[in-house]
Amino acid sequence: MSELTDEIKTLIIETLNLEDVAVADIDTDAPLFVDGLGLDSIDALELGVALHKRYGLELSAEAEETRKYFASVRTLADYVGAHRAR
Amino acid sequence: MAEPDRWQTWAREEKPLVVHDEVAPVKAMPPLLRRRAQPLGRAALEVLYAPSLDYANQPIIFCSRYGETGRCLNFLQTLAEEGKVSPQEFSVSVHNATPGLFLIAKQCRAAVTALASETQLALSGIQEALAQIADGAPSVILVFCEEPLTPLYRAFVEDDEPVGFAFALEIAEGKDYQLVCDEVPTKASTETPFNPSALSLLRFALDETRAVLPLTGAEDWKLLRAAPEAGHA
Repeated sequence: MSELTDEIKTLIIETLNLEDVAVADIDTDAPLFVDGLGLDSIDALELGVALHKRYGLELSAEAEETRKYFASVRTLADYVGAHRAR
Repeated sequence: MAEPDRWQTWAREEKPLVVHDEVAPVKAMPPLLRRRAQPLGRAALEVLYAPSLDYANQPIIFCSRYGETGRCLNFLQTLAEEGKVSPQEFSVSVHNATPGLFLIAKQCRAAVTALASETQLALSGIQEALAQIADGAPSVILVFCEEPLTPLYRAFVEDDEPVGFAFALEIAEGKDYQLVCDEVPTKASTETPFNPSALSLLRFALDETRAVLPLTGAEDWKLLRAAPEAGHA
């Protein structure tokens, strides 16, 4: 599991050009948006595109569940682990 | 160059700009906003954050002939190849994105005007600045930034900027300069296009030996420097 969480952290850092942020700096359970890492709605869309490209996931920007999956690196890793197409 | 006299020599002798490959660090901007800016935008942001500018919520007029063509081309190519574009890139692909990032970081609601014009951009910027001052703004920040076009587009223009640059001028009402337009142009419209780089404006401001800066090929629009005894702004 920690392998996948690290992979997702790396994906977040690279996709969102997070300068000066290392994998170790991201708390697996901290909120990704607003508090915690401080990402915004544009980042959510960008991450959706990246998750589609990397894992073949289709996430609806409107769906309430999407919000839950995007809560933290851990919730995202759980979702990716269960639903990835590649 | 930090010393004023070296800049004055640069202006008087029409020396070319020295190329620096490093991207402006823009340390004054929070990293979460800074990450959205590309090299040209970062150069403009570094200028806006300059302590000497001492930005005080004035309206900003942001001028660039073509803006960040590399970003736009990359974006169009991705759209053509994959049918999807990066939301992040899209959000900052508009011409006013750079001053927008600056004002978000400053939590300031000052007005932004973004101008793009292949020719006579220096004139357009000055006209816009004077119009806003006539409309009541005590002063405005006039930013110019350019970078060489991305290679694919270079074949389509005659006078590309060879070196990227960004500078800002604060324009306020005064008596130091005057923008004039002659009813009868000094020159007939010439065959050779006259398209001064925005840098000519910076050179003119720095070189106190020059009295006139033509802003169009016909030399009807020009900027005049007041004689020293005429007083200051």
